[in-house]
Order: sequence, then C-alpha cells, then structure tokens
Amino acid sequence: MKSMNIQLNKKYNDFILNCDFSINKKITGIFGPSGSGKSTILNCISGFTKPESGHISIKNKILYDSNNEIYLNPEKRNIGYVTQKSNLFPSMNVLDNIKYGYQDNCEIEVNDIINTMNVQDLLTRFPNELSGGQAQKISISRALASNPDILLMDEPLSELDTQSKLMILNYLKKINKRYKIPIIYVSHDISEMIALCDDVYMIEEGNIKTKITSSELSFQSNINTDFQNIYLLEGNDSKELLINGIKIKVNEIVKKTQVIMMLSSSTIMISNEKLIFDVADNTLTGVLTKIKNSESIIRLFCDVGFEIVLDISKDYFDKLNLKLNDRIYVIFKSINVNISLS
Amino acid sequence: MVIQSLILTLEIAIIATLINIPLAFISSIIVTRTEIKSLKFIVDVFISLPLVLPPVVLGYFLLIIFSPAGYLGQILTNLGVEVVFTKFAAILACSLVSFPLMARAIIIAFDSVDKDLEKIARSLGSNKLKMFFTITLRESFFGVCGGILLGFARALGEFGATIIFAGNIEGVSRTIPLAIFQSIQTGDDKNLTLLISCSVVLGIISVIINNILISKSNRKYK
Repeated sequence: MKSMNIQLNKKYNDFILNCDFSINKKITGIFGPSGSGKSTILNCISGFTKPESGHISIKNKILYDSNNEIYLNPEKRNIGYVTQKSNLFPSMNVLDNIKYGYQDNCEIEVNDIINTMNVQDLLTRFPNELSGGQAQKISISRALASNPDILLMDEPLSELDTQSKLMILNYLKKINKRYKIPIIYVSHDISEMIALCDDVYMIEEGNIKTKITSSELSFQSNINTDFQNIYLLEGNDSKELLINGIKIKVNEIVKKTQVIMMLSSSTIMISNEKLIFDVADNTLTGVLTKIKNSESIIRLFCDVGFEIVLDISKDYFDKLNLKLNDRIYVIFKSINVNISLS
Repeated sequence: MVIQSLILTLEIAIIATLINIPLAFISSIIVTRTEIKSLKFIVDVFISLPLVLPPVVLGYFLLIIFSPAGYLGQILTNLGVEVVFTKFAAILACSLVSFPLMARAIIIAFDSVDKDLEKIARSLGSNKLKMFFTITLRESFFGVCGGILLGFARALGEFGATIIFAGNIEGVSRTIPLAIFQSIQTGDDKNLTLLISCSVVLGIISVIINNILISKSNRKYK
C-alpha cells in the first residue's frame, strides 16, 4: 500500500529538480551526493519550499497540487521534520521541547515516546546540557509527539560521532516498527542507507534515477553488512574485537552497542581447502549458496552463519572448480572489516 | 522643580516607549522576516533615518508637520487638537528619537533567533502567530527587553527634538535634560547638581539592567 505520492518540479537557476516517486510505511531512503536535490525534496514535502508544479499527497490528504491550486501551509501538513542540527528550542527544557507540538487528541502518548526513546532522565535538562546524540534523540521525540503522518529526516546523523549514530539508527528502526510511521531518510552516507532503509531512491542532479532495496544497494556498493551485538567488558582497551568469530581491528572501542560490520567483496579470498595466512587473520567455514556470472567477475554468495558476498576472477573460479553447496573457506583481513558508519 | 522634572521625564519616557514598542515590533518583523526586499529596504531606511539626523532637525520636521500651518497640523487644528508645545509634543519627540535604538536592538534580537527553530515550530503545527510568540519572542526575550530599555534610556535623555517641538515649559515639557539646560542658563547650581545626579543615576541603572539582559540573552546559547 502506498502511503505517500510525490511528484514535483522545482527550478533553482540552472538546477532543476524533477522527481516522481511513492513511498510505503517503511523507511525510505533518498541517497545521492551533496547538491543533488535531496533536501529540496524534503522542503517541498514539508511546505517550506513551493514547487513550480506537481502533486504531493499522503494517506489521501493532498498537501500540494498545482493543477487544483492546493498548497497547505507547513503547520497544516502534519509532518515531523528532523534536521542535521537538533534545533531544540534553547529556552525550553527537554519535556517542554517534546510537548511543543503535542495535542490532547494525539494518538501517541508523550510518556510512551519518552519511554520508547529512553529519555526519562533528560526531561528537566536544557538543550545546552545535552550531548549531540541526546539532543537528536529529543529532536526525534519532539517530532514524534506531534503525531505526524510521516517523519522526514534530513541527514540527522551527519554531526554525530559513530556511537551516537548507531544509537539513533537503532531508535529509528524501533519507532518505525512501533508507531508504524513512514520515514523518509535523506543522506549521502551509504552505510546509513544500508543500515536503516528498506527501499532507497538514488537521486542525481535533481532526478530520481532508480529505486532499489538496501540489500541491492549493499550489493551494488560491494559492501557486506550485518548487524551484530558487541559486548565488550568495561575497561577493555583492546583494539582487536572478536564478534561472532570474526576478528576486527578498530580505532575506537565501541561498548555495549549494535554495530554494522562492513566488508568489501573485493577484499575477500575464497578457497576450497583450509589455508593459513599470517596477515589474513579471519578464516570462516561455510557453504556456497549462489553463483552469479558476469563478463569477467564471478560473484559468490556464501553462508558462513550469515551471508557473505565476494567477487573472484573467472579464471580463479574455474581453477577452484566450485559448485553450489560446496564447502568453502572465506578468508579476509581483520583490518578490512569496517564497523564505522562514517 | 527637580521632583516635577523627574516625574515628567519618567512619564514622557514611559509613554514614548509604550508607543514605540508595537511600532518597533512590526518594523523589526518586516526587516527580519519579510521576503519582500523593497519593503524591507524602505522600512530599514525609515528606522535608520532618525538615528543619523541631528535631533534638532527631527524636532524641526515635527514642527513643520504638526504646526497649525503644517500638513497634519492644519487637520488637527480644525479638529481642535493642539500638538506643538504640549506634553504630547514632548512624547512624540522622545518617541521619534528613541525609536531607531529600540527597533535596531529588537532587529538584532530577532535576527539572533535561528530561522530553523521557527521552521521546526511550524512543522510541529504552529501557525505564524503562535510561532512568533512561542519561539521568536521567547527565544529573543532578553534581547527584546534590552532593546526596549535602550529606547527608554534614550527617551530619558532626549533634548534637541523636544526643545524645538515641545518647547521648555515647566510642568509641560521641561524634562530633566531641559531642566538642566534651564539651570545652566539661570545659574541655579543647587538644582543643577540634583538634576545631573538624577540623570546619572537613571543612566547607570538603565545601563546595568541592559547589560544583565544582554548577558542573559547570550548565556542560553553557550
């Protein structure tokens, strides 16, 4: 079921934004380089920028229609908007910030949001007493409390450190699941897209080029991803982690949090017999589940407890004489596993 | 004489300030928030003009406009309203001279409010009026208060425009600055010392309160 339809045209001097897409109740990403028109789309949806022409509707409510000269002001659109900066109201404490857009007839209770976002201890603080991650959590809570039909997120993690990014990503998944509010998430960070979004629209120079799933995006970008829980002992200052049997070298210690492991398919070796390398310190045993041919590269999908994707040359593939369901060894260096989102 | 001048000065300055507040608010909103550039430019010029012209010239303009032979004065005289050399004239003179200081300070205060905060407030369901009172005014409150106080302090010290437009009439338009002028002219040293002391004390109080408001205004963003 489509939750929102967006069709708009907007001109800025030489730049022309021209897009036509729809979103469902999931988390939809808009991914593209800086200046490609991502934020302009959000500004048009939220009503802060008026398109030259087009149609924007959500749940059968028309927000903008150039043909029928309908243009709802931002306050009538019922849209939650979260920006790069948390933009909390400085003279209000956290609770007043959260309750700013709340109305008595709202379906979502403020207390429920406070509990879901785990901000009970911050309610009496003022914005200048919060960390960047905490402030962004409050900003999301505030947007949720206005009971929006949709949440627009304009690169909300771009000013946060890795740990805060991971925390917020988890909360976004949680609120989409709990409150069934569709989210449009804009970013130029591919790892955020892969970690968070269900569908991703690729935008370039003001045009939506294609719609793909985040796993397809992961595939296209040659990045293997997996959510993992890392539980490190407090005070552990080791820079080498062991997660689900995979050695990872990290620059910073991530404590008790969820991370996304990323491993480029081009940095993985495969063998049908166990090899020992001094530098390639990860060897996982698994089964070959899928083989995909292209002109010069063979893409292999292996089940090593989770799915891992790797690319090898056709010559090497022929030499190994690999077949589906063969037992294989996947070999890679711990330094090539990235758990950083930025 | 001193007490009378002090009360008259406070009375005139307070009324002039009260007249200026809504005008300063409206003009500041136009300058900081309107997207019509020509309107913004015209209002900005009108705000700045009294700041760059000598108060005596402003008093002279008021005299031309409001004298019985003047453009507006003719109409008012026909309606039986006399403005020149009255307390109302002193209030108008004080308003005109203190207006740019108040408006400029309020413009700075409004400008200091992040536009994104207003944007977020609108996305949370506030119309422009609610947004103005709950966000713009609230976040710029101390700066706005400082601006109002600055205008009030300027009105307390107004001399040039008042003496031209309202004269130097005891009990009518003889505010502290004019009373000081009168004392110097007549060599009334006793009253002169008292009047100057009043003037200095009022000035110091205004500056202290203004500085407290400015520091409060700056602190919350740190």
